[in-house]
Amino acid sequence: MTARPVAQLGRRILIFWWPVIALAAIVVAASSLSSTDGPFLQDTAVTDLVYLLFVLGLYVFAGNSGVFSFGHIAFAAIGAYAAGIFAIPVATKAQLFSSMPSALVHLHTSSLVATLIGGGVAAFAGLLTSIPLMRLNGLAASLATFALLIIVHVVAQNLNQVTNGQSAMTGVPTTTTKTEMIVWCLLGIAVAYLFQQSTWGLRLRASREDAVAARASGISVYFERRAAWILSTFYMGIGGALYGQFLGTFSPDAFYLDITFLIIAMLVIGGTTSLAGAVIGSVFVSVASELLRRLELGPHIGPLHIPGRPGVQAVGLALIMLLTLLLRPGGIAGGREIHWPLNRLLPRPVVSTAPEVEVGRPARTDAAAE
Amino acid sequence: MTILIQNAIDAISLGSLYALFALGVALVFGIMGLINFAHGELIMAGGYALIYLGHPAWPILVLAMLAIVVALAIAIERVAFRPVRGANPITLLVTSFALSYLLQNLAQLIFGSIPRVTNLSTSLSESFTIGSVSVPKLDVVTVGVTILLLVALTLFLNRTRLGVQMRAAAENFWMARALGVRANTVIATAFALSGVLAGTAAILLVAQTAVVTPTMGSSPVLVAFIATILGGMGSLRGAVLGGFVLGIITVALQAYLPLELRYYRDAFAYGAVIAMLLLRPQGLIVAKSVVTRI
Repeated sequence: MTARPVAQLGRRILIFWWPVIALAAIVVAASSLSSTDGPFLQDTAVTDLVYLLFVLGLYVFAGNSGVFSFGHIAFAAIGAYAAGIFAIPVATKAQLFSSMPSALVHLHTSSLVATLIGGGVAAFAGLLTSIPLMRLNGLAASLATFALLIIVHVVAQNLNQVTNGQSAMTGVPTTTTKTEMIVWCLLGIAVAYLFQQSTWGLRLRASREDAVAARASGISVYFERRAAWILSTFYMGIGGALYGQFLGTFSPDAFYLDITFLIIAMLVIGGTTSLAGAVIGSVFVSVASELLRRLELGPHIGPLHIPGRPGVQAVGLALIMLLTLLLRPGGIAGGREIHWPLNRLLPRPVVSTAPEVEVGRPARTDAAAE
Repeated sequence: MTILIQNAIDAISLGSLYALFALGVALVFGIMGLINFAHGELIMAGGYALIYLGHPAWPILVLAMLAIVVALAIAIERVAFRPVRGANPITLLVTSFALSYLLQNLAQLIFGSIPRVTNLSTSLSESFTIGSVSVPKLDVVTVGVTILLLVALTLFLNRTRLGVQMRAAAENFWMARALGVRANTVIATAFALSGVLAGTAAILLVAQTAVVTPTMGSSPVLVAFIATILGGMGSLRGAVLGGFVLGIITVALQAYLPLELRYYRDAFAYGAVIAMLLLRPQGLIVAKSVVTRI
């Protein structure tokens, strides 16, 4: 008699976690593809996994709240610099950063702790910036996040004592590996899923669909958005820290418009409003840009070599994104998650997951509020 | 005193250039709620047109170049923005962001990323000298052209049928349509006008810097954002005012900020944008479409 409840519990857990398991399988499969073609592709895979973490971070906020952010990469920069300061060995730091305050020079931790500190500092910056920014709605909020990106970029360029300015932060030990990135990404997917299924996440998603009705039901949109913003800035900080420890040398320009465009393209192409969209979009764009990059170098078809042109990759990506926006505004996933496929065969609904709302339809916005 | 006058002249000249940038963005925003990131790429296209058109007589060069930019502006409206018309402002914003990235990289693909140099401004690089103040001819031309365009635009919006329809559409798009205003015509006109403004801005900008690059449109479009937000989104007078205010602020910060803070000038400007969005989201001049009628 005890076997049945146990089996049922197992089934519940399986069904609840299925969207995460499916996405984890996709990520692991896609990144193991990269082992097929030499060390360069391995490095590309690490970069793509970092981007996935960024997209997850952006999704946690933008996907759940419906407020688009152009400023998330600013927190990746903050995380990268914060972690860099802690990861660079003291002797190297004293040598390379002549004007750094001595209190900072003597800080040193292991790479994992440095990564967590990067995430923490970014989340703290997220906490502070959430106070003004989350009061804004719609277009004004998006523009303000854009302004934030530029502000952080200008500060990073000129705060020579800490960031080494335009001449790049160097000497960061390159410790980030592919396995480590996969672990972080899977963790990121699981946490993002738990968040969107939590009370906070559901309240926030309700406010995305209809802010007025959500407020009328007692939801504090400001509070829910702040929570999601802070969590997502933590993601960005971790991602930035890992990216910094992958690159070893980076300047403020590594965290600016190009990468902002890339992660927005990934999220939009996949579909902004579901976790599956974030992950699938990121994997899809990673694979597509690798193919486009080969096209850019000039492909060899048999003995024939077609001369490539620089810029093909960026143009191709922008075209894919534009076509997605025009032809399939919901993205690849169209706002759906990957649910347990066998429910129809064994019709016993155990967990009632919140129905995903159709995305293609433009959300209602309050024109007067902007 | 001389320095003050010199700074004031700089501020007015810079402000009028900024006003041109902002007006182009505000025209389109007023009618379809789209913040057009790709406006900068219209300016860039104007820059390349100036290079590739060679050296015909002045009026021909200007007209041909404006025609190219206007055609591009109308084309991007038709191809990229018409399908998403009526979507929420954020979708529009992301679309224009993607389009801007596309055009920028397309330019890089076609023209290469190496800056092109052109000697457009040989006759404009001299200065008038009044007392101890020197006034670059280019500044005079910039201010003159801006005033001319503003007057022409005002006349167009107030005295012509199409202009009045555009103002009606900016105030209440659906009501205007219900009363027989053609949406396609009005929006295409707005884009065409923004093309004229972008082309003019391109001439003045290239005359100043003598360089054309695929990314030359980025900073003008950012300037236009700040100016439109300062002035009040959707208000044309606001955009012009915002442009001048931003010009004055920029010159003042550059001139009077302590040296170690001067590098952070742009951070202050964008900080002001966030503050403005928070404290006075409707801007300096409130557009009619923003006022809620009950």
